[in-house]
Amino acid sequence: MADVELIALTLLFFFSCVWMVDGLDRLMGR
Amino acid sequence: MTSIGILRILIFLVVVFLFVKPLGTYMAKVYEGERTFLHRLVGPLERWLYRICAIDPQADMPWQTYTIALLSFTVVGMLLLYALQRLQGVLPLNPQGMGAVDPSLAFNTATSFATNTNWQNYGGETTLSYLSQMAGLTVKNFTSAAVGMAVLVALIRGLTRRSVKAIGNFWVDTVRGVLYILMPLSIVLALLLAWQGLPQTLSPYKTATLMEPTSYEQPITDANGKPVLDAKGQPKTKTIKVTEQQIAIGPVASQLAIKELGTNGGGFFNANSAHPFENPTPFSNFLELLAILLIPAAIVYTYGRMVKDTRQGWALLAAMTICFLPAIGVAVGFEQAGNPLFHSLGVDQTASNLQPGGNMEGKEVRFGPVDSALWATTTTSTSNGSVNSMHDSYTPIAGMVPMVMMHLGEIIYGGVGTGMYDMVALVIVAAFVAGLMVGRTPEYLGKKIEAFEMKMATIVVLVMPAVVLVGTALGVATAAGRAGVSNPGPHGFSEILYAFTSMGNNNGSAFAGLNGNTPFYNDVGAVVMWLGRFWEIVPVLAIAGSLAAKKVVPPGAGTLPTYTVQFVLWLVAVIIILGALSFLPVLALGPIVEHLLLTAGTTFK
Repeated sequence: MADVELIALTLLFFFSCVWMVDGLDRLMGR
Repeated sequence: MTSIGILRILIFLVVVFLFVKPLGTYMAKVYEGERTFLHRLVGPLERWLYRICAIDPQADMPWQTYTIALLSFTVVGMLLLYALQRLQGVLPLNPQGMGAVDPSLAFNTATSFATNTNWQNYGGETTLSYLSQMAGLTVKNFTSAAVGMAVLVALIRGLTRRSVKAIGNFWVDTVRGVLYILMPLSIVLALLLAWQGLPQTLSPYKTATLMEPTSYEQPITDANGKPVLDAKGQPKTKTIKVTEQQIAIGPVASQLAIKELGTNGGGFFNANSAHPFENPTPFSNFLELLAILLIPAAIVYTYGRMVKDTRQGWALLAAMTICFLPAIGVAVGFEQAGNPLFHSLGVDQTASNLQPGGNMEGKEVRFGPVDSALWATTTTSTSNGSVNSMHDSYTPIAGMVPMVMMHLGEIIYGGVGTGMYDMVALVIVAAFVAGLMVGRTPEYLGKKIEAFEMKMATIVVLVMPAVVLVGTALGVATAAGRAGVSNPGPHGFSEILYAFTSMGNNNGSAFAGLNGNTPFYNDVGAVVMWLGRFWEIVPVLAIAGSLAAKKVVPPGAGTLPTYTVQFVLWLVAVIIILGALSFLPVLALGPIVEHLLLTAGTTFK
């Protein structure tokens, strides 16, 4: 894969976890 | 097992346990903000760092902010490490003129070091410049280890604080972990290792003239890289005479110290701690082995001290030791017994004054089967991953032991935080199941364990098996995955299973028979490493946030004491049952069937 694709994948890693934080925060609030 | 082997193991364990209380107490003081003997020296540097980074050390963070800070810090470091490897050809401190690292390999290495895995698809001495090794890998060794400890400290605050939202300040926890714990220990260990003969230099590699020149036949290849054949269809070769050898050196000691102390494991050299410049003597081997367990064992006491009940720490330490001792016994025992097929060939594998005996394939003569198998068990019990022998060459059952230690979650001992917070998740599961059995609301350290905490603990427990087993399935089911295997039959399956077990657990050790530097293993491995690390950390910090907001329930007649022998045994049972349920079927397909076939005399060509 090219540099740009790999950097995009890194950011995807990051946002997968941010999404998880958001989801767990909502779950905790219920 | 020989009596001298047993004695060496006992001495090692005694020395480790001698450090548990003093180092554990010191680490607790650091994280609780108490004054230590290093404050006068390191305090001004700590305050300066906060000032230039505009950090308010008094500002506490809720778990969401803590987690986002941790993730941001990690991903920025990961991108910087990636850029450093890609640009190393035009950057300084590159006396060997190493070119840019291949994108896929750079990505794998950046993810590997950002997640404290340190999986080595790269060959340090042939791939990376001194700048990449020092400013890239070594820096990540410090920061990723400090991040793991910070997560544990945040979880402890969740357990001890009452009715608050905040679980601490991520920046303060990370800075303190690096400056007060990892850095001082690394300086001392680096000096000791340099004394034992590890290089510490920025000079270029040395060229030595061989005392006995040698030669070998090199196949002649065409423009496409395919061998040129003669009239008989045999590959044409040319004789290469070798009169010189290039000896790789560099800033090795400084990297090795944190590699072991931070349970990182990524070596300066490709052969890791089997290389004579990473681990030259039996004493350097002892020091490095001690460094692997030093913080992981002491952090369990830190935990007990910080939750204001050291009995909790001792209980967990006992549970870990109950799992650790049999594993050492099995690994060392099978390696010392040697290869059963060699006995029938008349090969002498008995320990004597002239030889260590046992299975010596893939091992350094200066270490032998005992120190090699002890290292293999220790490095996979924690999340270290450095190796001083090649696990691929172990007898099947001894080779299975490192896999089992990782399958249990690397909870022996507490890693640099990682094993300890996984252990706390298992304690929550154990306390919950025990509570269900007696019909009482489960609680741990005065905090009620309710549906949310159980859901989070379940995610923590299940993420690792999921990424390991799905990764292994992909490796077996795809041609790209199978292409990396160097052995047929069940051993080839074990190579794939070990690779994904190691990456999914952020261990980093390799079975060594697998060619991992391929786009498949680089890219899929990076995904597995990231998920194995951060899809566990996020729910752990969510547990911390949830528990911090709860009141403390005073212990009553229905409280399950979690420091008793009964609870320790129950916890061990839960650990083994969960590990067996998740991984026994794949182990049966790999090392177990290989062992049965080997004892029946069946081998694969």
